[in-house]
Amino acid sequence: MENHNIILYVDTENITKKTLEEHSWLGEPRRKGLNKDFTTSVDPGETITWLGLSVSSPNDIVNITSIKHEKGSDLFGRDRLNGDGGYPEQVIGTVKRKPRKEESYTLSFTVYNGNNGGKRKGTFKIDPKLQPHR
Amino acid sequence: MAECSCLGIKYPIKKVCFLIGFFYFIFFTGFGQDQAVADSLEAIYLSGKYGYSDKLELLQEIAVNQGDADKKLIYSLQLIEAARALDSANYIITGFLEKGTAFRLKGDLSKALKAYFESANIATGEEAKSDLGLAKLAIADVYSIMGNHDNAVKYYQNAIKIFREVKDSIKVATALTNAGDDYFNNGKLDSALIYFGESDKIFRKANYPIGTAYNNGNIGMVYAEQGKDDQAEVNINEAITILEELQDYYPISVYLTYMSDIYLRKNDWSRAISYAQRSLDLAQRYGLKEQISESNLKLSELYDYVGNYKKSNSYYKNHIAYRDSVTNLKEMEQMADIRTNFEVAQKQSEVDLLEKESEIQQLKDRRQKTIIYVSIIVLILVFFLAMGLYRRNIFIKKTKNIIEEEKNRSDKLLLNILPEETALELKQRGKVQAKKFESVSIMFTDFKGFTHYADNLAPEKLVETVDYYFSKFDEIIEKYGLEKIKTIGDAYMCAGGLPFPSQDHAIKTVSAALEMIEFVNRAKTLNPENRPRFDIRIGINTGPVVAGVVGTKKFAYDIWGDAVNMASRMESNSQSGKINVTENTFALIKDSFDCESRGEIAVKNKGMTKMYFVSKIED
Repeated sequence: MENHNIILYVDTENITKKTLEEHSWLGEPRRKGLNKDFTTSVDPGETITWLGLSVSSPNDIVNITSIKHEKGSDLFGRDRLNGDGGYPEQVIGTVKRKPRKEESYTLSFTVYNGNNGGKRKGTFKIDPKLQPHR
Repeated sequence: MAECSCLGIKYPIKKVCFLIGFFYFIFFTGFGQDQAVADSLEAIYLSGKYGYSDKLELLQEIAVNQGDADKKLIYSLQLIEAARALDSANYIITGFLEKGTAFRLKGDLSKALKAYFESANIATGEEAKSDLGLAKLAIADVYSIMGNHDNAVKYYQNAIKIFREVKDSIKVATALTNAGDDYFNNGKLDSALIYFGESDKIFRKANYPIGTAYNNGNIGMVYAEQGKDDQAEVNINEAITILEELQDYYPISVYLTYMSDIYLRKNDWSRAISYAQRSLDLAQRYGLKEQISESNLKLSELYDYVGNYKKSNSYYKNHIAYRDSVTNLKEMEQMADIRTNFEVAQKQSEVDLLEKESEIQQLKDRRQKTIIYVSIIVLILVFFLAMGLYRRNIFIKKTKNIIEEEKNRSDKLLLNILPEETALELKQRGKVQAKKFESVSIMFTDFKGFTHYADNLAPEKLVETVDYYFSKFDEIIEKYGLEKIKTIGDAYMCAGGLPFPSQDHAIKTVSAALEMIEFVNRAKTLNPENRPRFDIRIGINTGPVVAGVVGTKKFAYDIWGDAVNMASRMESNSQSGKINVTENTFALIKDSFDCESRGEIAVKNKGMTKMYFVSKIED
């Protein structure tokens, strides 16, 4: 039984909705490949924590605001998991059933300027995947 | 918590153990916590410009060097995740250790303890002794911070033992120092001095200035508690000097509080307050939660002592707020649970092992029992089989004997019925070939007046009487080698010269006849039971016959031929006590017996026939 920490690295200074893929990386900063292809292997009972980190400005805050499973409520017990309201905000979810081959979910995050607290360019969404352990 | 009474006021001994966490951290990572290093490595990591093989090392270095608790946590989590993906146990162990440290720095001691135990569990599984020692040391430190002296000592002892086994003197010294602190916190000053002294020797030998600094400070605190203020001040000041150079502020904050105590005891209020305030400032500047609590308490006590209750109350409130954030009951319960789980897990492993051994033993025992049972069953089966065979053997033997006896009886009976040669032939071939004998002497006997007696005598008596005579006749003819043919009523028929032809059959037949007459006569004179007695007449003829067995039931050996009929005529023409023979017989016996010619007598269907009475054996 493993607990997972999925870290979203964001180039907070340069990210825009149009350049989302070029400036955000799941698992590893500046990882090659698309976020929608980022897949985590999980089993029922395992806990996943999604949290964010700026790669461009150490003071910037990346808040993971929600995780939404597109195919219903049975994977996490709810179809939408909200952030914990922390600073930075993170989302914690427990897998309730074994994922089918690959199941997409939507990760929503916001970026704040660490120096003035201002929100940078709205809310962003990416669609990574969960799959069962092989 | 132990208390110290000085100058009429009571206040708790300072929680110097807070310094320990930083202290062990510095040593076990092999290099100091260096924010500059962390920042530069982080920049490399975030730029993505590093080799694939460097990723784990990079993450580890960032996590270890990172002073910011939140970032340390993120990088330790990232290290764990990445190490898991590459199945690298050593990095996972370090990841959990750093995660624990991040939580400890954030003041979340229950999560810190959980992470440390996780690190210890993996290290145990990987048999990574040194890592296990570090995890145990970290666990001991958290217990020490929580004031759980018993658990702290237990884990310090574990850690010291492990480090001694792996011969890591610096870590041994570190653990000794931290353990000494815990003894100190619990008022066991002599024990604390012993631990600090031993640690100090090791650090000096290894030329570790920071270790020397801590031991100076710690020994100074012991002296302070013992009232040896001058020695205490010297030691603590030396420690602060070294630590300032090393920018290690946490212990400085603790030592400053101690300096405050020393000046309080010297009634130098202003310097006492000054030291306490310096300690608080330092703690606040570097976010040292626990020390903020302790410095507030110290200032509260000092202002209380000088009568400034408002300020005292304000500091006291701050002290309570920070203290509760560290040692709230819920956390203590959680930590107890975590520890219990860890120990239960360890115990479970031992129990599992013992159970496995027990299961193996049980399987062995069961197998042995099964072997014993099977052996016993096999032995019983073999015994019964042997018994069965034995009994069967006995049965076969008995049956064989019975069969043999029956066979003998049957043979005997058969021999009674048939001549031996004929019986043998019948047995072998199932039938008997009729056989012609050229010269045989046939004898017939008959009791005179038997029919008359038979009518008046009881059947049993009659049979008994006939048996009396015939049994003797059987004896006599056996003596002479004659063959009994049959009895018909009171008539007895036998023959000589068969089944084996012989020369003297007529002589033997006549001899037998004479003996029969002698027996009959003797029976008449010797009759004690007054049985019925008869006279006998006998007829003998010699001539050719055909002999054979007829029928399939109640076999009877019989002879046929004219000679037989003539023998019967001889008997019917005989007289009581006489043996009447034909000329054929006479011709064969005349040299052996005295015979009396009777001349020719008419015989039914035979005409006139010469007959002779045999009177006696010729002298």
